[in-house]
Parts: sequence; structure tokens; C-alpha cells
Amino acid sequence: MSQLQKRIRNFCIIAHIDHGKSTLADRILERTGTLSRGEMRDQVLDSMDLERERGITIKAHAIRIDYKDATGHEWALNLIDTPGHVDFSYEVSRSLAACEGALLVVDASQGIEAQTIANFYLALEHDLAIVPVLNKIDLPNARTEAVKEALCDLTGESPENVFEISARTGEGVDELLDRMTDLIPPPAGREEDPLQALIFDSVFDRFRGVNIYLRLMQGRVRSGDTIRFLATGDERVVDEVGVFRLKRVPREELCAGEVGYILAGIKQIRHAQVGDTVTLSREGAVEALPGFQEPKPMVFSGMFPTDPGEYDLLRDALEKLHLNDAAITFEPESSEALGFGFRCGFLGMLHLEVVQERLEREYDLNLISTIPSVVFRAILNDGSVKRVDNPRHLPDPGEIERIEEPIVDARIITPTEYMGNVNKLIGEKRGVHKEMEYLEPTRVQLRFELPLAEVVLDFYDRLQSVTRGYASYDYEHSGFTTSDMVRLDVLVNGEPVDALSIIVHREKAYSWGRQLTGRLKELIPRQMYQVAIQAAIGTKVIARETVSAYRKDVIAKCYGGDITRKRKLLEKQKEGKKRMKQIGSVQIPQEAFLAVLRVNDDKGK
Amino acid sequence: MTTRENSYGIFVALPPPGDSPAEAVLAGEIASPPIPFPTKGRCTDLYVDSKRSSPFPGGRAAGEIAPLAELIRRHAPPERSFEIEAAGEETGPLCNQAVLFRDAGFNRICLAAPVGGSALLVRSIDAARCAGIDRIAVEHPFARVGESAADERERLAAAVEAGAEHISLVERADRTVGEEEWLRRYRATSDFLRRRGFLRYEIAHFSLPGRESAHVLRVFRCGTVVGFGPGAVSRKGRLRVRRPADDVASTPFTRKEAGETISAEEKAWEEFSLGIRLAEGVDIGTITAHPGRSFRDALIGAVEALAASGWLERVGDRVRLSRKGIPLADKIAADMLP
Repeated sequence: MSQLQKRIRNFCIIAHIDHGKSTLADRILERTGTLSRGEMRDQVLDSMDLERERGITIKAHAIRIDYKDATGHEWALNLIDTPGHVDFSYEVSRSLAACEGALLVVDASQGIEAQTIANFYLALEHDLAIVPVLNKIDLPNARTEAVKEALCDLTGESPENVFEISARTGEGVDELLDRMTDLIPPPAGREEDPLQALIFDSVFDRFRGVNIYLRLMQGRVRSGDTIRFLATGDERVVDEVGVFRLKRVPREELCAGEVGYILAGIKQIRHAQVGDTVTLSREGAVEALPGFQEPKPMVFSGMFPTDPGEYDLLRDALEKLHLNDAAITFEPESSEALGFGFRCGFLGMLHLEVVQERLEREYDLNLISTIPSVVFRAILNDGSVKRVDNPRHLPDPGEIERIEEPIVDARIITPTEYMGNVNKLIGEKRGVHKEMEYLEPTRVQLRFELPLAEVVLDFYDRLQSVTRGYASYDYEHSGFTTSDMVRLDVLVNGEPVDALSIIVHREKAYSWGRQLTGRLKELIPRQMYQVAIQAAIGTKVIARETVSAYRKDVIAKCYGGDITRKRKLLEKQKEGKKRMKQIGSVQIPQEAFLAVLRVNDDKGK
Repeated sequence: MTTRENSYGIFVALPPPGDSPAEAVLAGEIASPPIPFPTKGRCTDLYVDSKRSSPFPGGRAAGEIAPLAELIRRHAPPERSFEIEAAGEETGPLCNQAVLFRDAGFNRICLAAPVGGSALLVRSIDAARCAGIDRIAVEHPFARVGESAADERERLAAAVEAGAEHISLVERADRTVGEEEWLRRYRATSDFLRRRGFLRYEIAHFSLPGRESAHVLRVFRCGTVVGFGPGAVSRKGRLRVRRPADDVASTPFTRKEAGETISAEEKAWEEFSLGIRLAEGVDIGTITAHPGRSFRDALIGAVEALAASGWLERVGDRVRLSRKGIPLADKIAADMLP
């Protein structure tokens, strides 16, 4: 091991959302002088506006920190920030694979949450040295001792090895920095061996192409080298290598153990996918690093421009987003109700929301998105399997032998007083209880098997509702199971609205139909005609609601001086109607297409 | 101000006197007689004397009437027989000064009928007539929450009996009975007035033949209207001007004001959406003559669709709201927005 390598520490911070991961990163950058006061701003690693607004980290980032400890030794600390949401768990796993150690941060007032545990086990799987950190000890409601005890139970550490800090004030952060270099081992891997580097992130830059963020497991790379991507077989000539301190700092070369970037004139992010292994083209025998996966969309939704003339703009915008987010999939789709659009695949609901928000905000598009759906498997009578990510594509029931739906292994942590509510909710969601464990006398961890279709609809909101926001959950995909699913169609004045169809469990179809039509009745504004809303399985109508027609509006007294003002008022109303879709003679607002998501709201209250 | 004969109207709004705001309107001449809507074989529509005109001012105190009289003298062509109307929100003070109005040149008075009884209204009508003002209009609070249909009918009957020749239905959006009740009352009121010889020449205005408000006609035909006084609105061609709130009596269109020029399409829509409320309807050929082709096609398309659904009546180039469409005048107008 070279002297350089001995002084490298690659680490990440893992935590449940809002437990202070990004604040701690900020404080470390400040304490080590990596950034001057002027350069500091809250959550510096979260550079996307959306990330700042939502207080989450969507894309992983990394930064090199030059640190001189109390004894005068100099260190190169590579901090790899990780996304904090279950949708991005694959990216988390790749970030962890690039590290030797992890700071496991827990909020002293909140205690251990579902993602704390999920991330902890993920870190264990990667053999990382885990440094337990209790954050927010300065809060008046901090339960430092109780949470420390739970953290020790989880990690097996003794209480004196748990760091107590306040990332907000900086208390305890210097001691943490000093000890980290002892607790986290240096990277292994020989510089003399063939290049083997793990891509843990890649970001599209419209001037330089794709920035590949990688961790060198062994070997070295310099500009001018020809590299090869093992997953795709692509070869490229390296234009530039370097490290990053919020911006790129070019270097002559990167060596084993280091974390840095490569620019190689790559135009599309799918050519440099997270998890892929990079080597030199002349060293063909190198094995790929384990764990690479193609991004696999789990949730699908149709996205349609409210203005049909914006179809091309939507396609261009999706293509541009795809340059920077290989996890999005999209293919053209046409709907009788919504016209031309795209069927898009996402990692999860947050990913869907983020993409939709970016399309609307960055590309100025008005979109209608349809009810999210998971991927079902229809096993047909002839034994073939049809993958169904769109309710409209479900084959005729006569052709189907059975339908399988994806299930997840879910972990919920809740105060014990809400256990009854959580169990009831899980029952409603067709969940199967697996195990229960007390983390503290007043907090319990429950594990369930749940259909993913139930999770993507409104599970999180309902869980927050029945536990007053005190529960957390996390899940991982665990396969498929056979279920009695049917397609529920919605008809408005006799016209089927394909965009409102949903695949639902047969036992729930009747209550869904009633609630859905009821919700649509609230959302579809009264019009000059009576509007009939029906829910049907096949040709059988199982629920009906009627929106009564407008009978009158204000007709007196309209003096001419007001007509221009009235016109403007009506024009403003018409502007609002642009987001509505015309089904026959009926105008349906965008909210109606997401009504299914809120079908159970009343129950949750 | 340049005044061309038969080309403009004048609107005067007085600053509110105390808690009882008065309103004054001075509308200009009717440019042409209304065109009968071409109903099949029978014309039941109104006829208005082409030579009569319709100013419409009001006020409570003699001190307020004097400047109005001066305005009328300054802007009304003396050779014309103007309809000069006084209107106030409170009937009593207005009729108490009927003589003053008459002396100032007013020949029409519009009385706001108080809710809850007809005695004061009848006395006011008598007072106006005694003062020599024989053209009497009544603003009839309509379908108001808290007043029964019977009480409302009694008040309306009293107004007609006392000699009102013009009835305007006035409703308040926030205090109106339910939709079905509203529809019943509207039909009953229309029938009641029709049986007494009143014609519905605009969906909220009824009059005896030849007693229509020239001002109302001008407004709904989208004619030129010149507004005086604080907050008053003027319009001339595509120009729209709102008087400043502190303006009492300056002359519109003579100095820089907060105004806007609307587009030809916007003007066409305004003309059309107002015109369909009139019994005489509106000439679609005239309205769509100027704007661009896409607008014209869209408007005609919308009109055809609304006519096919029974919301509009169309005979040749003239279009108006159908009986079914009258209660939804605003929604139908909104449907015609490009």
C-alpha cells in the first residue's frame, strides 16, 4: 500500500430522512476548511433546487476533503453523499460499495427509523466500518440516552463508541473527524494491478458530456488512456481525470483507493451507468465488480401534455432528462381520453413526482399524469407470460390463467401506541405480518409482506395519517405472488376513460368503485349537462354517481361597464380549464386522474 | 370632447353621499332602432323610438344635481329629446327630490324597490309622477334569500300597479335562493310581466313596448359609453377606460387615463356575449366581420355547437339565447371564448 493510499479514507453518511445527514456534511466541509465561509450554504451537496426544497438528496454526490488532524497528519477524506429515499436504494448501494466506512447518523429526538435500519444492514453487507453518530443532541426533546442504547443494540457497539454531536452547532464534530481516521480503514487495492473502477454516480454536463464519478479499486488511470465499460463494452479516450471539491479539479492521474471523476466525451448517461466497472482497454482480463444492475422501473404512469401541441416538447424534455437519469424509461402511448403522450417508468413514487415536477418546472410543460401502476405478470392459458405495466394492456380475462403481482418486504417502525392502527392499515392493504421486534420499550419494528400496488397508491400518506407522522417505513422488492386481480374501468357519460382504469384486487373492486366514483363526483365540476360516472368490471357496472347539471348562473344585472372585467374573469377561469380534458362533452380536471390515489383519504382521517 | 350625433353615450357616477351611494348615468342616443328577432311568422319583439335617447343620472342633494345638470347641458345635443334618468340605491331620498331632478332636466327615474314591503315604493312612484316624471323604472330585488316568492310577487305587482313601466331584475350572487327555486321564480316573474304587457327585451330587463331603457340597450349593443365620476367605466370602440377613484367630474377621453385597448377579437367577443342576451339578438355576420379568420371560425363553430345543443337560437345571421340558455348566459358566453 502506498503512502498516499494509507492517508485516504472513503466514507459516506447514512441516515433516515431529516436526521441531519446533509447538515453534517456541511459542517465537515466547514470544519476542514474545504469551503470558505463565503462558499458555504446550507446543504451544499444538494445542488438541485428540488433537492433543497424537498430537503432530500436525489442524486449522490461526492467531495474530496483535505484534512490535517490535531497531530499534524494530512488526510484525503472522500465524502460520498447518498440519496436518502427508498426509490434510490440501488444508488445507495453503489455509493456504499465505493466506501470503506459509514457514519450512521441517528436523530437523538426521533430515534432509530426504518431507513436507519435498512441502511445499516446495507452497510454491513458491504463490510463497511460503521461509526454510530447521535445527532441533534442540542434539541430540547433529545432522548440521548435512550436512543444511544437502541443504537448500541442495533450496531453492537458499546455506548462510549457512539459519538454525540450537533451538526447544526458543530458540537462534537471535531472529535468525530479526529477519530474517523482511526475507525475507518484505508482502501485496499494495488496501483500496479489492472484498472478496476466502480462508477457510483454519473451526471450529464451539457458542455463536457457525462461526468463519471468513480472509485478506483485497483490500478490507475490518466488522461489519454483508452477505457472500457464492462457492462456495455463501450471504449472511450479519457479527456480529463481529477477530483472534486464542489467543482472539478483536474489531476494527472487517479490511483487505487482514490475517488474522482473522468471525462471521456460521453453524450448519454446510459453509456456510463451506475454500478458499471471501468477498466483500460489494453487490460482485457479484469473482472466486473459485483452488484451491477440495469435500472429497473417499478412504477409506471402515463404522462400527457394538456396541450396536444406540446407532445414534441415533452419528448424532447424526456430525452434530455434521460441524459441525466438513466432510470427513467419512456415510450409513446396514446390514450383516447388524453391524446398522445408517453408511458414512463420510474424507480418509485418519489422519483415519479420529482420527474414530473422537473418537466413542469424546467421545461415549462403542463402535464396530466395517470394513476401509477406497477408491473403485473399475466400468465396466459398458453403458458406465456405477458408483462403488464398499463391496465389497458391487460389481456381479456378469458385468456388469462392467473395474474401475479409484485410484493415487497416492508419494515415499519412506530411508537407502540400506534401498533393497532398500523396493523389495521396493513390488513386493509392486503399485507401479511411477518415479525415484530421492540427497539425501545415504546418503539417497535414490524415487518410485513405487502403488495407493491398497495404501496405505490397511498400507503405512505395513510401510514403517516394513522401514526400522526411518527412512523417510518422502508421496503425492498421480494418477488411476485398470485393474486385475484381485475381491471376496473371508469365511464363518464357512457364513454370509457382509459386513463382512469386501474388493476385492483377483486375483493376491493366494489369498495374502490364506490369510493372512486364518489371522489370523481367531487372533482368533476358541474357542467351544463348532467354527468354520469360509472365504475365497471367488464360490462358489469358496479357503482354509479351523478354530477347534476348547472341550472343557472348569475344573469342580472350585467351593466356594460363590467363586460371587459367579466371577460378577463372568464378568461382566467378558462386558463384553469386548460388543464382539463374533454371526454365527450364533459371536462375532467387533472385531479380526477389522480383521484384513485386519494380514494382512502376519508378512512385515514 | 367631440360629439357626433347618434354616436355615444354618457355615464355619470357620483361620489357616494354618506352611506347611500347614488349613481348617475347619462347615456347617449340610440343609434338605430332594434332589429326584430326573426321568429317564425310572428314578431313579438320590442320597438323603440329611434329618436329617443337615454341619459341616466342620479343624486341625492341639490348640490349634486347641479353639476349633473351642467354635464347634461354640456354633452347632450340640445336638439335631441334625451331620456335622462335618475337612479339611487335608496328610493325615499331619490323621490323626495324628484322635483329637483325634474327641474334639472331629468325625465326618467329609476327606483330601487326596498325588500320587505311595497308601501315606500308605491309612495315613491306617486311622488315621481306628481313631480311630472312619468317614465318610471323599478329595480326589483329578485330571488333573494329571506324573501318568499309570494312577498316578492306582491312587491312586483304593486310596482306594476302603481305605474312602473320598466322592471330590472337585480340579484346578489351571495344572497340568492337555490337554483331550482331561482328557475321557478324567473319563469313565474317572466310570465307575470308578460301577462301585463311587459316584454323581456334583455334577459334581466322587462318593459312595456317602447319604454325600454335606452341606456340598457346601448350597453348591451356594446355602443360607446362615456363614464363620468369616480370609478366610472367608459368605452369607445376598442378603448376601455376606468375613471380614477378620486375623479368627480372630469371629461373622459380628454386626458391620459388608466385605460387599455382591447383586441378586435376581444371586442367581438364582448359584443357577441352581450348581444345574445338581448331579445333582438346579435348579428353574427356583423360581429365576425373584422377579426381574424381563426377567431371567426372558432366563434362560429362554438355558436353552431351551442345552437345544435339548444342553448342558442339562430335564425339566419341573428343569434340569441334560447329559453333553455337564458339561465346560463355566463357559461354560454364563456364557452364562446376563443
